Amino acid sequence: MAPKDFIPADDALIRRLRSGDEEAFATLYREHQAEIYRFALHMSGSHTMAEEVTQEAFLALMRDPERFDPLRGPILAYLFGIARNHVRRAMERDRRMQPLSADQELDNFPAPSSSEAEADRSDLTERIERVRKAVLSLPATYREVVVLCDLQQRSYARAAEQLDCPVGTVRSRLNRARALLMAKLSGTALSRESSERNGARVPAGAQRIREGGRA
Amino acid sequence: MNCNEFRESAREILHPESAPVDSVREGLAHTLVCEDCAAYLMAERALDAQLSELAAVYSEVQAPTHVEPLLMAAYRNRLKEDRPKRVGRAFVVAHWRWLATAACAAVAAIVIFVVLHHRSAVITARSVAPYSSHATPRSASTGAAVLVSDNSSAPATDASWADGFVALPDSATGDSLEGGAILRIEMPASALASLGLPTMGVQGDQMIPADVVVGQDGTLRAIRLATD
Repeated sequence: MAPKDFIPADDALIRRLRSGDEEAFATLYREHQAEIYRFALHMSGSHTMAEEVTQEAFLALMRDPERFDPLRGPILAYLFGIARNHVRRAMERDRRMQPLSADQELDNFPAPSSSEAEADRSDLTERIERVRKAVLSLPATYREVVVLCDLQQRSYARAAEQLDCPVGTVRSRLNRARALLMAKLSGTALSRESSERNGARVPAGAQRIREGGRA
Repeated sequence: MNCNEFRESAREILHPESAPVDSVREGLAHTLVCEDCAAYLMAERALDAQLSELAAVYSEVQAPTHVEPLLMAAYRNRLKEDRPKRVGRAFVVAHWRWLATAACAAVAAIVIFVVLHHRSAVITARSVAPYSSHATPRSASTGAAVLVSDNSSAPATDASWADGFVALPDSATGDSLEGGAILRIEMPASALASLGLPTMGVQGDQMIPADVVVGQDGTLRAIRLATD
Protein backbone atom coordinates (compact mmCIF):
# COMPACT_ATOMS: atom_id res chain seq x y z
CA MET A 1 0.00 0.00 0.00
CA ALA A 2 1.32 3.43 -0.89
CA PRO A 3 2.06 5.68 2.06
CA LYS A 4 0.46 9.05 2.67
CA ASP A 5 1.87 11.85 0.56
CA PHE A 6 3.40 9.29 -1.76
CA ILE A 7 4.66 11.12 -4.82
CA PRO A 8 5.06 8.90 -7.87
CA ALA A 9 7.44 11.44 -9.44
CA ASP A 10 9.80 11.06 -6.48
CA ASP A 11 9.65 7.32 -6.85
CA ALA A 12 10.66 7.61 -10.49
CA LEU A 13 13.45 10.01 -9.56
CA ILE A 14 14.75 7.62 -6.96
CA ARG A 15 14.79 4.80 -9.48
CA ARG A 16 16.76 7.01 -11.85
CA LEU A 17 19.07 8.06 -9.04
CA ARG A 18 19.79 4.43 -8.23
CA SER A 19 20.79 3.83 -11.81
CA GLY A 20 23.25 6.75 -11.62
CA ASP A 21 21.22 9.55 -13.23
CA GLU A 22 22.82 12.86 -12.29
CA GLU A 23 19.83 14.90 -13.41
CA ALA A 24 17.57 12.91 -11.08
CA PHE A 25 19.77 13.82 -8.14
CA ALA A 26 19.78 17.48 -9.14
CA THR A 27 15.98 17.47 -9.43
CA LEU A 28 15.55 15.85 -6.03
CA TYR A 29 17.90 18.38 -4.50
CA ARG A 30 16.13 21.36 -6.04
CA GLU A 31 12.74 20.08 -4.96
CA HIS A 32 13.58 19.40 -1.34
CA GLN A 33 16.62 21.41 -0.31
CA ALA A 34 14.66 24.43 0.89
CA GLU A 35 12.47 22.42 3.27
CA ILE A 36 15.45 20.62 4.73
CA TYR A 37 17.51 23.78 5.00
CA ARG A 38 14.74 25.72 6.73
CA PHE A 39 14.05 22.87 9.13
CA ALA A 40 17.72 22.70 10.10
CA LEU A 41 17.92 26.48 10.35
CA HIS A 42 14.90 26.71 12.64
CA MET A 43 16.17 23.82 14.72
CA SER A 44 19.73 25.08 15.09
CA GLY A 45 19.47 28.83 14.56
CA SER A 46 22.67 28.59 12.55
CA HIS A 47 23.05 29.02 8.79
CA THR A 48 26.34 27.16 8.90
CA MET A 49 24.80 24.18 10.60
CA ALA A 50 21.75 24.27 8.35
CA GLU A 51 24.03 24.17 5.33
CA GLU A 52 26.04 21.32 6.79
CA VAL A 53 22.91 19.36 7.65
CA THR A 54 21.43 19.89 4.19
CA GLN A 55 24.61 18.65 2.58
CA GLU A 56 24.75 15.65 4.88
CA ALA A 57 21.16 14.69 4.15
CA PHE A 58 21.69 14.70 0.40
CA LEU A 59 25.11 13.07 0.67
CA ALA A 60 23.50 10.24 2.61
CA LEU A 61 20.93 9.82 -0.14
CA MET A 62 23.69 9.93 -2.73
CA ARG A 63 25.88 7.41 -0.94
CA ASP A 64 23.22 4.82 -0.39
CA PRO A 65 19.96 5.42 -2.26
CA GLU A 66 19.03 1.77 -1.66
CA ARG A 67 18.33 2.60 2.00
CA PHE A 68 15.34 4.67 1.04
CA ASP A 69 12.22 2.53 0.91
CA PRO A 70 9.34 4.27 -0.91
CA LEU A 71 6.86 2.02 0.88
CA ARG A 72 7.84 3.49 4.24
CA GLY A 73 7.20 7.09 3.29
CA PRO A 74 8.03 9.87 0.87
CA ILE A 75 11.57 10.92 0.12
CA LEU A 76 11.10 14.17 2.03
CA ALA A 77 10.32 12.26 5.22
CA TYR A 78 13.45 10.18 4.66
CA LEU A 79 15.56 13.30 4.19
CA PHE A 80 13.95 14.89 7.25
CA GLY A 81 14.87 11.84 9.27
CA ILE A 82 18.51 12.18 8.28
CA ALA A 83 18.50 15.94 8.83
CA ARG A 84 16.87 15.55 12.21
CA ASN A 85 19.50 13.05 13.35
CA HIS A 86 22.30 15.30 12.16
CA VAL A 87 20.84 18.35 13.88
CA ARG A 88 20.46 16.47 17.14
CA ARG A 89 23.95 15.08 16.95
CA ALA A 90 25.40 18.46 16.14
CA MET A 91 23.49 20.08 18.97
CA GLU A 92 24.65 17.47 21.42
CA ARG A 93 28.17 18.03 20.18
CA ASP A 94 27.92 21.75 20.70
CA ARG A 95 25.55 22.56 23.49
CA ARG A 96 26.80 26.10 23.60
CA MET A 97 25.52 26.76 20.11
CA GLN A 98 23.85 30.13 19.90
CA PRO A 99 21.36 31.21 17.28
CA LEU A 100 22.51 33.63 14.66
CA SER A 101 21.42 37.04 15.75
CA ALA A 102 18.79 38.80 13.74
CA ASP A 103 21.07 41.83 13.53
CA GLN A 104 23.65 39.86 11.62
CA GLU A 105 21.04 38.96 9.02
CA LEU A 106 19.70 42.46 8.75
CA ASP A 107 23.17 43.84 8.12
CA ASN A 108 22.78 42.76 4.52
CA PHE A 109 19.61 44.70 3.89
CA PRO A 110 19.26 48.23 2.68
CA ALA A 111 19.00 50.86 5.34
CA PRO A 112 15.52 52.20 5.97
CA SER A 113 14.74 55.41 4.18
CA SER A 114 12.80 57.06 6.96
CA SER A 115 12.58 57.05 10.69
CA GLU A 116 9.19 55.36 10.48
CA ALA A 117 10.64 52.50 8.47
CA GLU A 118 13.53 52.32 10.89
CA ALA A 119 11.18 52.02 13.81
CA ASP A 120 9.17 49.38 11.98
CA ARG A 121 12.29 47.43 11.23
CA SER A 122 13.59 47.70 14.74
CA ASP A 123 10.29 46.56 16.17
CA LEU A 124 10.06 43.63 13.81
CA THR A 125 13.64 42.61 14.44
CA GLU A 126 13.10 42.68 18.15
CA ARG A 127 9.93 40.65 17.94
CA ILE A 128 11.34 38.04 15.61
CA GLU A 129 14.47 37.72 17.67
CA ARG A 130 12.44 37.18 20.81
CA VAL A 131 10.26 34.49 19.25
CA ARG A 132 13.20 32.78 17.62
CA LYS A 133 15.10 32.67 20.86
CA ALA A 134 12.07 31.27 22.60
CA VAL A 135 11.73 28.55 19.95
CA LEU A 136 15.42 27.74 20.15
CA SER A 137 15.25 27.45 23.90
CA LEU A 138 12.66 24.69 23.73
CA PRO A 139 13.79 21.09 24.26
CA ALA A 140 14.51 19.45 20.90
CA THR A 141 11.44 17.18 20.94
CA TYR A 142 9.17 20.19 21.45
CA ARG A 143 11.10 22.44 19.10
CA GLU A 144 10.80 20.07 16.17
CA VAL A 145 7.01 19.91 16.38
CA VAL A 146 6.80 23.69 16.56
CA VAL A 147 9.13 23.97 13.57
CA LEU A 148 7.20 21.43 11.54
CA CYS A 149 3.63 22.35 12.45
CA ASP A 150 3.82 26.06 13.19
CA LEU A 151 6.74 27.28 11.12
CA GLN A 152 6.57 24.87 8.19
CA GLN A 153 2.80 24.41 8.23
CA ARG A 154 2.80 20.61 8.29
CA SER A 155 -0.38 18.80 9.24
CA TYR A 156 -0.21 16.61 12.33
CA ALA A 157 -0.20 13.54 10.10
CA ARG A 158 2.73 14.68 7.98
CA ALA A 159 4.68 15.81 11.02
CA ALA A 160 4.04 12.43 12.62
CA GLU A 161 5.32 10.73 9.49
CA GLN A 162 8.45 12.83 9.43
CA LEU A 163 9.11 12.41 13.11
CA ASP A 164 8.22 8.74 12.98
CA CYS A 165 5.80 8.91 15.89
CA PRO A 166 2.01 8.73 16.36
CA VAL A 167 -0.21 11.70 15.53
CA GLY A 168 -1.33 11.89 19.16
CA THR A 169 2.27 12.34 20.25
CA VAL A 170 2.72 15.24 17.83
CA ARG A 171 -0.47 16.85 19.11
CA SER A 172 0.42 16.53 22.77
CA ARG A 173 4.02 17.68 22.22
CA LEU A 174 2.80 20.66 20.27
CA ASN A 175 0.37 21.69 23.00
CA ARG A 176 3.10 21.38 25.58
CA ALA A 177 5.57 23.26 23.38
CA ARG A 178 3.14 26.10 22.79
CA ALA A 179 2.40 26.35 26.50
CA LEU A 180 6.14 26.63 27.13
CA LEU A 181 6.47 29.25 24.40
CA MET A 182 3.63 31.28 25.84
CA ALA A 183 5.25 31.13 29.24
CA LYS A 184 8.57 32.30 27.78
CA LEU A 185 6.99 35.06 25.74
CA SER A 186 4.52 36.18 28.37
CA GLY A 187 4.86 39.72 29.54
CA THR A 188 5.89 41.90 26.68
CA ALA A 189 6.03 39.22 24.04
CA LEU A 190 2.44 38.71 23.15
CA SER A 191 1.86 42.32 22.63
CA ARG A 192 -1.16 44.07 21.38
CA GLU A 193 0.56 44.60 18.06
CA SER A 194 1.12 40.92 17.50
CA SER A 195 -2.49 40.19 18.19
CA GLU A 196 -3.43 42.71 15.60
CA ARG A 197 -1.07 41.06 13.12
CA ASN A 198 -2.91 37.79 13.34
CA GLY A 199 -2.43 35.88 10.10
CA ALA A 200 0.50 35.61 7.75
CA ARG A 201 0.78 39.24 6.75
CA VAL A 202 4.43 40.02 6.23
CA PRO A 203 5.54 43.41 7.48
CA ALA A 204 7.86 45.49 5.34
CA GLY A 205 10.99 44.66 7.35
CA ALA A 206 10.26 40.97 7.20
CA GLN A 207 9.72 41.21 3.48
CA ARG A 208 13.26 42.56 3.12
CA ILE A 209 14.61 39.59 5.06
CA ARG A 210 12.71 37.18 2.81
CA GLU A 211 14.05 38.76 -0.34
CA GLY A 212 17.61 38.44 0.85
CA GLY A 213 17.33 34.88 2.15
CA ARG A 214 19.09 33.28 -0.76
CA ALA A 215 22.35 34.92 -1.52
CA MET B 1 -15.64 20.54 27.45
CA ASN B 2 -13.70 21.42 30.59
CA CYS B 3 -10.72 23.76 30.90
CA ASN B 4 -8.09 21.01 30.55
CA GLU B 5 -9.72 19.66 27.43
CA PHE B 6 -10.00 23.18 26.09
CA ARG B 7 -6.30 23.88 26.57
CA GLU B 8 -5.39 20.62 24.91
CA SER B 9 -7.33 21.58 21.83
CA ALA B 10 -6.78 25.35 21.82
CA ARG B 11 -4.47 25.25 18.81
CA GLU B 12 -7.03 23.27 16.84
CA ILE B 13 -9.60 25.97 17.53
CA LEU B 14 -7.26 28.39 15.77
CA HIS B 15 -6.58 25.86 13.02
CA PRO B 16 -9.98 24.26 12.49
CA GLU B 17 -8.74 22.27 9.48
CA SER B 18 -6.87 19.98 11.89
CA ALA B 19 -9.80 19.24 14.23
CA PRO B 20 -13.37 17.95 14.08
CA VAL B 21 -15.97 20.70 13.67
CA ASP B 22 -17.79 19.69 16.86
CA SER B 23 -14.64 20.00 18.91
CA VAL B 24 -13.99 23.50 17.59
CA ARG B 25 -17.58 24.52 18.27
CA GLU B 26 -17.44 23.15 21.81
CA GLY B 27 -14.17 24.95 22.42
CA LEU B 28 -15.52 28.27 21.27
CA ALA B 29 -18.63 27.76 23.39
CA HIS B 30 -16.39 27.12 26.38
CA THR B 31 -14.67 30.50 25.97
CA LEU B 32 -18.05 32.17 26.41
CA VAL B 33 -18.40 30.77 29.90
CA CYS B 34 -14.76 30.69 31.03
CA GLU B 35 -12.78 33.92 31.12
CA ASP B 36 -9.47 32.17 31.80
CA CYS B 37 -9.85 29.98 28.75
CA ALA B 38 -10.92 32.96 26.68
CA ALA B 39 -7.70 34.69 27.74
CA TYR B 40 -5.75 31.53 27.01
CA LEU B 41 -7.21 31.45 23.53
CA MET B 42 -6.18 35.05 23.01
CA ALA B 43 -2.65 34.19 24.10
CA GLU B 44 -2.63 31.25 21.70
CA ARG B 45 -3.81 33.53 18.93
CA ALA B 46 -1.05 36.03 19.71
CA LEU B 47 1.52 33.23 19.74
CA ASP B 48 0.22 32.05 16.39
CA ALA B 49 0.71 35.53 15.02
CA GLN B 50 4.27 35.70 16.32
CA LEU B 51 5.12 32.30 14.86
CA SER B 52 3.52 33.28 11.56
CA GLU B 53 5.77 36.32 11.40
CA LEU B 54 8.82 34.21 12.06
CA ALA B 55 7.70 31.64 9.46
CA ALA B 56 7.04 34.38 6.92
CA VAL B 57 10.52 35.80 7.35
CA TYR B 58 12.06 32.44 6.55
CA SER B 59 9.49 31.15 4.07
CA GLU B 60 11.67 31.81 1.04
CA VAL B 61 15.02 30.98 2.58
CA GLN B 62 16.90 28.28 0.73
CA ALA B 63 20.25 26.58 1.00
CA PRO B 64 23.09 28.78 -0.28
CA THR B 65 23.64 28.50 -4.01
CA HIS B 66 27.14 27.07 -3.67
CA VAL B 67 25.80 23.91 -2.02
CA GLU B 68 24.27 22.49 -5.20
CA PRO B 69 27.47 22.55 -7.31
CA LEU B 70 29.38 21.01 -4.41
CA LEU B 71 26.89 18.20 -4.11
CA MET B 72 26.77 17.64 -7.85
CA ALA B 73 30.57 17.42 -7.98
CA ALA B 74 30.49 14.92 -5.14
CA TYR B 75 27.80 12.98 -6.98
CA ARG B 76 29.85 12.85 -10.19
CA ASN B 77 32.90 11.64 -8.25
CA ARG B 78 30.78 9.04 -6.59
CA LEU B 79 29.47 7.87 -9.92
CA LYS B 80 33.00 7.50 -11.29
CA GLU B 81 34.02 5.43 -8.29
CA ASP B 82 30.90 3.34 -8.32
CA ARG B 83 30.55 2.79 -12.05
CA PRO B 84 31.98 -0.76 -12.14
CA LYS B 85 30.14 -1.78 -8.98
CA ARG B 86 26.95 -0.15 -10.18
CA VAL B 87 27.13 -1.85 -13.58
CA GLY B 88 27.83 -5.19 -11.97
CA ARG B 89 25.02 -4.74 -9.49
CA ALA B 90 22.64 -3.58 -12.18
CA PHE B 91 23.52 -6.62 -14.26
CA VAL B 92 22.89 -8.92 -11.32
CA VAL B 93 19.61 -7.20 -10.51
CA ALA B 94 18.46 -7.27 -14.14
CA HIS B 95 19.48 -10.88 -14.82
CA TRP B 96 19.24 -12.50 -11.43
CA ARG B 97 16.85 -15.18 -12.66
CA TRP B 98 19.19 -16.30 -15.39
CA LEU B 99 22.18 -16.12 -13.08
CA ALA B 100 20.38 -18.17 -10.45
CA THR B 101 19.37 -20.77 -13.06
CA ALA B 102 22.93 -20.98 -14.38
CA ALA B 103 24.29 -21.36 -10.86
CA CYS B 104 21.78 -24.13 -10.10
CA ALA B 105 22.64 -25.90 -13.37
CA ALA B 106 26.35 -25.72 -12.60
CA VAL B 107 25.82 -27.13 -9.12
CA ALA B 108 23.58 -29.90 -10.52
CA ALA B 109 26.19 -30.77 -13.17
CA ILE B 110 28.91 -31.01 -10.54
CA VAL B 111 26.72 -33.18 -8.32
CA ILE B 112 25.79 -35.49 -11.23
CA PHE B 113 29.43 -35.77 -12.29
CA VAL B 114 30.55 -36.61 -8.77
CA VAL B 115 27.75 -39.13 -8.27
CA LEU B 116 28.37 -40.85 -11.62
CA HIS B 117 32.10 -40.95 -11.06
CA HIS B 118 31.61 -42.42 -7.61
CA ARG B 119 29.11 -44.98 -8.91
CA SER B 120 31.39 -46.17 -11.73
CA ALA B 121 34.22 -46.55 -9.26
CA VAL B 122 32.01 -48.58 -6.95
CA ILE B 123 30.71 -50.72 -9.82
CA THR B 124 34.22 -51.37 -11.06
CA ALA B 125 35.41 -52.20 -7.58
CA ARG B 126 32.48 -54.56 -7.05
CA SER B 127 33.18 -56.25 -10.37
CA VAL B 128 36.69 -57.22 -9.25
CA ALA B 129 36.68 -60.95 -8.71
CA PRO B 130 38.57 -62.40 -5.82
CA TYR B 131 41.92 -63.52 -7.11
CA SER B 132 42.74 -66.99 -5.98
CA SER B 133 45.73 -69.19 -6.48
CA HIS B 134 43.33 -71.83 -7.73
CA ALA B 135 41.96 -69.61 -10.39
CA THR B 136 43.47 -69.72 -13.79
CA PRO B 137 45.10 -66.51 -14.94
CA ARG B 138 42.15 -65.91 -17.25
CA SER B 139 39.69 -66.16 -14.42
CA ALA B 140 41.50 -63.23 -12.79
CA SER B 141 41.09 -61.14 -15.85
CA THR B 142 38.50 -58.83 -14.34
CA GLY B 143 40.42 -58.49 -11.14
CA ALA B 144 43.64 -57.67 -12.91
CA ALA B 145 41.91 -55.02 -14.89
CA VAL B 146 41.74 -52.64 -11.93
CA LEU B 147 45.22 -53.17 -10.77
CA VAL B 148 47.48 -50.25 -11.08
CA SER B 149 50.70 -50.73 -12.86
CA ASP B 150 53.38 -48.87 -14.64
CA ASN B 151 51.45 -49.87 -17.76
CA SER B 152 48.27 -48.20 -16.55
CA SER B 153 47.85 -46.40 -19.83
CA ALA B 154 46.26 -49.59 -21.10
CA PRO B 155 42.46 -49.78 -20.87
CA ALA B 156 41.33 -50.88 -17.46
CA THR B 157 39.14 -53.63 -18.88
CA ASP B 158 41.79 -55.01 -21.17
CA ALA B 159 41.97 -58.67 -20.27
CA SER B 160 45.35 -59.02 -21.92
CA TRP B 161 46.95 -57.78 -18.75
CA ALA B 162 45.87 -60.94 -17.04
CA ASP B 163 46.82 -63.33 -19.83
CA GLY B 164 49.52 -65.79 -19.00
CA PHE B 165 49.63 -65.15 -15.26
CA VAL B 166 50.43 -68.10 -13.11
CA ALA B 167 49.46 -68.01 -9.47
CA LEU B 168 52.40 -68.36 -7.18
CA PRO B 169 52.39 -71.36 -4.90
CA ASP B 170 52.74 -69.39 -1.66
CA SER B 171 50.31 -66.61 -2.44
CA ALA B 172 47.32 -66.12 -0.17
CA THR B 173 44.13 -67.68 -1.40
CA GLY B 174 40.75 -66.11 -1.69
CA ASP B 175 41.99 -62.54 -1.16
CA SER B 176 40.72 -59.83 -3.37
CA LEU B 177 43.29 -58.19 -5.56
CA GLU B 178 41.53 -54.88 -5.36
CA GLY B 179 44.13 -52.23 -4.86
CA GLY B 180 46.97 -54.50 -6.01
CA ALA B 181 49.45 -53.69 -8.76
CA ILE B 182 51.16 -55.23 -11.75
CA LEU B 183 54.83 -54.46 -11.90
CA ARG B 184 57.33 -55.10 -14.66
CA ILE B 185 60.48 -56.64 -13.22
CA GLU B 186 63.57 -58.35 -14.45
CA MET B 187 64.55 -61.57 -12.82
CA PRO B 188 67.25 -64.21 -13.33
CA ALA B 189 66.09 -67.14 -15.45
CA SER B 190 67.20 -69.45 -12.69
CA ALA B 191 64.34 -68.18 -10.54
CA LEU B 192 61.73 -69.44 -13.01
CA ALA B 193 61.96 -72.94 -11.82
CA SER B 194 61.46 -71.96 -8.21
CA LEU B 195 58.28 -70.22 -9.19
CA GLY B 196 57.01 -73.25 -11.05
CA LEU B 197 57.60 -71.83 -14.52
CA PRO B 198 59.37 -73.61 -17.38
CA THR B 199 62.93 -72.50 -17.88
CA MET B 200 62.59 -72.82 -21.66
CA GLY B 201 66.31 -73.48 -22.08
CA VAL B 202 67.33 -70.02 -20.98
CA GLN B 203 70.62 -69.74 -19.20
CA GLY B 204 70.36 -69.34 -15.43
CA ASP B 205 72.20 -66.02 -15.12
CA GLN B 206 70.26 -64.32 -17.94
CA MET B 207 67.82 -61.63 -16.83
CA ILE B 208 64.36 -61.94 -18.25
CA PRO B 209 61.46 -59.48 -18.01
CA ALA B 210 58.31 -60.56 -16.20
CA ASP B 211 55.10 -59.06 -14.89
CA VAL B 212 54.20 -59.75 -11.30
CA VAL B 213 50.97 -59.17 -9.46
CA VAL B 214 51.62 -57.65 -6.05
CA GLY B 215 48.80 -57.84 -3.57
CA GLN B 216 47.70 -55.02 -1.30
CA ASP B 217 49.69 -56.62 1.47
CA GLY B 218 52.84 -56.39 -0.63
CA THR B 219 53.23 -60.13 -1.36
CA LEU B 220 53.59 -61.55 -4.84
CA ARG B 221 50.48 -63.30 -6.06
CA ALA B 222 51.10 -64.21 -9.70
CA ILE B 223 53.68 -63.94 -12.43
CA ARG B 224 53.96 -64.12 -16.16
CA LEU B 225 56.80 -63.81 -18.56
CA ALA B 226 56.72 -60.59 -20.48
CA THR B 227 56.21 -61.15 -24.15
CA ASP B 228 56.94 -57.64 -25.41
